[in-house]
Amino acid sequence: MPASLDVAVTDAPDSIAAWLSDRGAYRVSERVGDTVHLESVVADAGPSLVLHRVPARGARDAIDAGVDVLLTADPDAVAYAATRADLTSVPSAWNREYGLLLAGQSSDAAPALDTLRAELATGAVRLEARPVRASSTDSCADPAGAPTASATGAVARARIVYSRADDVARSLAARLIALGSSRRELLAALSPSLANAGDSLRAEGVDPGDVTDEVVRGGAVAAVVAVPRFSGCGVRALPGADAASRRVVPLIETRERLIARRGLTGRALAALARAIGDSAQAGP
Amino acid sequence: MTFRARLVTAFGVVALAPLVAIAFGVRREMDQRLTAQDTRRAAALAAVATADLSRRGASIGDRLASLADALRDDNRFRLAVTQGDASERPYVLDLAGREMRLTGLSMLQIQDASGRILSSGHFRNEYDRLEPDLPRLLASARGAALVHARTPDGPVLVMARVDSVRLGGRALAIVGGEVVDSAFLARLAPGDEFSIALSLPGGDGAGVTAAAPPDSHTVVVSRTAVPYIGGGPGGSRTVQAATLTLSRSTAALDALRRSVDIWFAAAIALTAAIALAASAWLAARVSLPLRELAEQTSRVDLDRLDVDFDTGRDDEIGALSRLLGAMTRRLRASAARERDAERRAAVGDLARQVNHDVKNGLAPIRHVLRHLAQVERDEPARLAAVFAERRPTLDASVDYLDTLARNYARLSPRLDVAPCDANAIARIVAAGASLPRSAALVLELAEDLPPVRLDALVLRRILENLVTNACDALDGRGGTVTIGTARADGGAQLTVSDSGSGMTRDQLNRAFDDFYTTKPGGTGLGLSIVRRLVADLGGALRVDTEPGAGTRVSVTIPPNDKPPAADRPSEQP
Repeated sequence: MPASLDVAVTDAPDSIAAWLSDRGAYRVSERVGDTVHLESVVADAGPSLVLHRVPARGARDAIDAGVDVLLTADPDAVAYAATRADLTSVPSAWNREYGLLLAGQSSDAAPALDTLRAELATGAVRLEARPVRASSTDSCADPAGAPTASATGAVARARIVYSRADDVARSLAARLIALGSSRRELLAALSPSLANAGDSLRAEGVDPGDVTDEVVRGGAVAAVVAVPRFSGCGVRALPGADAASRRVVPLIETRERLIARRGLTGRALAALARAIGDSAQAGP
Repeated sequence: MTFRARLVTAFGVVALAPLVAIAFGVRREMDQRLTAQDTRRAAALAAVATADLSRRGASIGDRLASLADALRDDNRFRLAVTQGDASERPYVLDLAGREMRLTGLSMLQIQDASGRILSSGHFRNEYDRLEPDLPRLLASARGAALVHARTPDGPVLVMARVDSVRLGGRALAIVGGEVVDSAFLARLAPGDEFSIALSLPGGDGAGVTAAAPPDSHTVVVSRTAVPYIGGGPGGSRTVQAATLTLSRSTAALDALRRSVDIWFAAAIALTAAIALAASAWLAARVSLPLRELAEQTSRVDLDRLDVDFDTGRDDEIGALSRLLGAMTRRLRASAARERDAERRAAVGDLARQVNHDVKNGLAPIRHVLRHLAQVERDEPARLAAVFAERRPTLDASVDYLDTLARNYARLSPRLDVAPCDANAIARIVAAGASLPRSAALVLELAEDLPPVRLDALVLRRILENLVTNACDALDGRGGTVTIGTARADGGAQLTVSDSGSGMTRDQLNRAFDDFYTTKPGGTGLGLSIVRRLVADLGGALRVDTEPGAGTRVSVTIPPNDKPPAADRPSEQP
């Protein structure tokens, strides 16, 4: 088993490192710029990892460059890896949850909301996604059945904001905008104000730190937010979501794929797959 | 205005008038040609911009046609569309975006026969929206048309066309285009001085502008109607006409005109300055001989007729100089003759004055001699006594004649100014007066009369002339001649009055003229001599007369402290 694996990630290395640390298998041993070193918590349980970031559009280039492991959600990279006999891919756990932080009154239309979640998971985003399952948030309040919050005093601008660094969030916002003119009943499942905005809804990317603040300040009627799925109540744990006039509606969960060279020892790959995956199933 | 100034003005006008006319003519011609050339150039460039817009529309059509061919050959797309293969849905959803980037379009959507959007490049997640009217309206526009396309960030204006492809009997519409923004319009603008504005009909927004806002230098070059698919009166979309306005800033042309104007003005000013300087120099050259001639002429005077007008010039000024020279020579000859005549007249006048004065001096002597002869004849015993009585008169007359002779001998006598008793001189003159038999001479002399400082001979000549005139005024009839003296402002006043015939106004006006007399045998010099002598004394002469009422002549002699004019040498005796 190699002493360490060179792992390229298309997400922030810190975020991946935190995820791996939270899962209990690894701990951060060193940070040098965008490179994060992790070592196995249990001696000889697996190789140490060196995480470094590659651009999302450069995932296939990283594969071609001979990286040991690539952790990405890019479907094109996954499809490319599937065409390569020397590569294998393993799905990660559902490690990210996207939701909609809403200002103002919420709706109580659970069937339509499920339809909306399914619609978003199957077409709106280009990575592996699934609707948020109620079982995954059982320990938290029902995202759709939470008490209706009172309306805010100020009328929020008819726009949905998202982090401009997050392509998934942008896609979700764009789909919600598109639904505003074609399937308003689905938007109404989220919020009457969203449905009423209709064609006037706009999507706008903002700095990551300003996403929730825009809704709190009344600069947006909603915001697409994302949190790592493993953090307890998911998006409902976001700051600002606890106010009486705001709530977060979980929408979809996403996961990534671990693409590795078949030349790696089965033990190392199995250890890594256990660290990041649900089922620890490795396969092409 | 001087002759020189007239010359400068004339030369300036002659030099400047054609210059200004030429400048204005050239400037006008240049302006017309520049404007015409600029207008032709602008029209040509506007045509280029319009053609470029058409080419862009055609280019969009070509790319859509290529895309239609590619879709026919795309099996994955065919499977998804014709067989409903759900596994290929992500491929279809991303297809438009991929193809949009490949074809260089900025808007692309693929719609099925019902108008449902299967794939959108500019708005990837707009799939499944129904927009059936757009392909139909674009087809009716017969070419590219402007339309607002939806994006997550809001609508954008695009120039779009439509194409179609049939897959397995299913008709698909391909709508694609380019975003029309300020950059798009700027690329159409044929030059920096051009600006393009796109105005949309109705309430569909303010349109797009690519350039600075219009100002006073902006002129519209052309307006082109562009099909636009927008909201109609009932809310449904229709094909309307947007206006693509190509404007041009004439700032460069205006600046060129101003520059030309400035240079023309500078050239005119410089030429005018040179012309005026040349005119001034030329006028000075032309007027210099005239000024010299005028200066020479100004020196000509009756006392100065020796001015030399000789010149070597053979032009008009030379002729004028020669004429003036001849004229001064004639004047010199005339003046010589005049002076000779004056000399002759002066000698005659002097002779008559000598005659007059000698006669005045001889008259008392003749009178005394006649008296002595009468006494010798009638009373010989009293001859010695009468002689002794009248001898002072004889002596005074002899002295007078002697002094007169000496004065005339000197011609320009020096006056013997000294304090003298005016009353004594009045008595002497009265004693020698030739009164008619029945006339009386009265002396009214002031006893406190101060001595007056003058030449006693001058005072006697004044009184003798006045008394002689007074006696003559009695015309041999009876009457009174009065000689009076009085104090006057520190000086003395002598008065000689008679009860004779008096003078008319006309006679009085001419009484002091030389040689004016109303008496047969008179010289006409008495009163004129009195006038000159009183004037020499600095005194005043006053005449009160009336025909039939006699004449009174007053002579006022200034005080002694005032320097008498008699101190000056007399011009004539």
